[in-house]
Amino acid sequence: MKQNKLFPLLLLLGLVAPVRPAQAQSTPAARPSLRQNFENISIDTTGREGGTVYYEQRLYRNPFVGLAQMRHSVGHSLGQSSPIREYVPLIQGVPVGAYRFDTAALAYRSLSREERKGYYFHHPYRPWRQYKWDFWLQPQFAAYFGNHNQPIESNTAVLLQSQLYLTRGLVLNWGVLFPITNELDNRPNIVRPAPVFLNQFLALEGDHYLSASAGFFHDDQYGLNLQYRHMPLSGAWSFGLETGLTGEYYFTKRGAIYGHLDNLLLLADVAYRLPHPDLTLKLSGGQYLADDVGARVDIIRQFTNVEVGLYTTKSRNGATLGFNLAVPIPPGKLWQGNHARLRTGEEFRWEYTYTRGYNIGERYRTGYQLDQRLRQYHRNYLNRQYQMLK
Amino acid sequence: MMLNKLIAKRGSVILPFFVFWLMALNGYAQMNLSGKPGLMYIPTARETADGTFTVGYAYNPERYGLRSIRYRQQNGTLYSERVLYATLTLLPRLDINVNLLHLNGSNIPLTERGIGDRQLDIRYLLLKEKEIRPSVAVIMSSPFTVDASMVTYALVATKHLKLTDDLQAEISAGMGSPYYIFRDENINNNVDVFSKFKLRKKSEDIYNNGYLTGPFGGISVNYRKRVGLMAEWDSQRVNVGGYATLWKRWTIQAGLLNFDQVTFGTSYTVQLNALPRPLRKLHETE
Repeated sequence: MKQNKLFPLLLLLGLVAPVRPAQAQSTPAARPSLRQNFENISIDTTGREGGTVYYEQRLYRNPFVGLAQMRHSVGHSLGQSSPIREYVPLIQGVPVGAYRFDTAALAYRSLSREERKGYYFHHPYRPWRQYKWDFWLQPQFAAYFGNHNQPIESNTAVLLQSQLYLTRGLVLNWGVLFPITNELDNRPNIVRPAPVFLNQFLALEGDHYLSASAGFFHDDQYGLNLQYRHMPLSGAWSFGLETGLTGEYYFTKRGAIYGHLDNLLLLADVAYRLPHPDLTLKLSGGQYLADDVGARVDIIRQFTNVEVGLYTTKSRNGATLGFNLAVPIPPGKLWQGNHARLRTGEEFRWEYTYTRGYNIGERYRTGYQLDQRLRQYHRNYLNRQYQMLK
Repeated sequence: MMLNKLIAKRGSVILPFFVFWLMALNGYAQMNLSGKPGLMYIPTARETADGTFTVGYAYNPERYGLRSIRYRQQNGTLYSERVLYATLTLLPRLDINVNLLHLNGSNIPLTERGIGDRQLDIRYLLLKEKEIRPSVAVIMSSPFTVDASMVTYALVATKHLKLTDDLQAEISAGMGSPYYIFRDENINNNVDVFSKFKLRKKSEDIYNNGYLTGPFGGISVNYRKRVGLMAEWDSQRVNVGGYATLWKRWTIQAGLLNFDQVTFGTSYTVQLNALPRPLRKLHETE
């Protein structure tokens, strides 16, 4: 509390003696413990109506936690009008959009290409200084149920993963996989590299986003994957395209084994989001793995930290249904300092399919899927939590 | 109730805490055998808040086995059963319930080994409870199932009555359909879940356990939604029991089926719509 009262004063001092005349910058000194949750924080106070804070937050699956903590840390000061007007979360150093805590509701506006360029110009990207060495533990669990002699046949592993931030939007995902069980195939159960791949996140004009990946993905697929999505983060409709060219790979004691690069993934989707509750209806279709052509309907409900979905797929190979969920992995932060952090993965995603063995509408995972990532930044979803916080 | 005795014995130490729980917390309540808001065997139309998520376990004794009845009829072998379930109020009014029913014992038939008999059930609240009007819910097991023994196709109405300031009664009455839809398919041939739907009379399937076939009803009387007693007609028999909810989220319950064998269960409930923990802390410091 004491620090909090001091903070506006510190900020004012920063403004009186700016480092740059055109673009005043300061780094908040208040609430160091809370501040450690963030990376690449910069405050732009040149705006006429108030400042803007840019920040990246990798600790929580739910971006509202970061938004509210940031507001608490820099913007929310007792008895004084807040010097910060807009909050801009970053994904891999790229601004997603601008949020404002209005009295009635959380407001959102998309950023123009010029605004993003302005930010890039005034806040040079120095990832080795702006980002932590961030390590996390990620469980992985794939299973077949139904064998009478062995009810659960599973492939279980714990991954120690990390990201290396290279240039703006470009990240190298890497890690080590520690196997626990492997009853699904006869591949050697050895400590091996976790998925290693490059990912470029791009925000084009406004609400158009792009994610390009190359390397060794999850689910034994290597190759290229490209996702585009138009997703107005305060609107109802969104659509996306995805394509990928991959082949199978796995590790043996002597090295990696590669299959031909001939799995084509070509998908399009359109999603509608109900104004209340946080429910998304998504229709997608196209070419899946194993040369399967079909369509899929998803119903996705976003609760505060947890996402639960039901889906059904109809394709050339058959028809099936199931459910999926995405949950944060407790306890979250294990240890963190200014330059490094060890945590549990921010998200565990799992899907149950009623049938197995027919390759119905199968795909692989890269790091994140654009639609899954972006819907967490939807204004309505964040605003619902803001209303609870008020 | 056992719990009441416990409180009486410990007297002044526990009682203030107990009263505090009673006053400070919302009540979650008991679940039926398959993990739906209900009494012991019967489901009710009790409304659950959006985002309510419950996981639980139930024990079904051997003489009343829903699936093991098949083996009892074949060769007289008795097996009790366990049910593991998860239930989520996915949308206001809509619950989804997944459950696994499994035979207990180490010498169960090979075909019964596995993680259990899987079911996906839905419950939709057609009407919400008003001052006079009861809530009404329709419950349906998914028709994609090939081989299930705890099938619920029912319509049920529930009304809450305030007896005194502390005592509340919940009265339910419903009708279980004698027919259900399933897929007439070999369990190993699962390529199309939208094929071979068939309507069948429950009394004509291999289980013929009479579960929720015909009219059913029940009453539960609770003290501040924390502890309660219940009695039900499950369409075949009369069952009686009691329950208690502890530490706001944990419910334990037990009953006597047909005044003969004991059933029991436990469940744990969380709210998925609650404010995330780091923000609750933040909220308190502001």
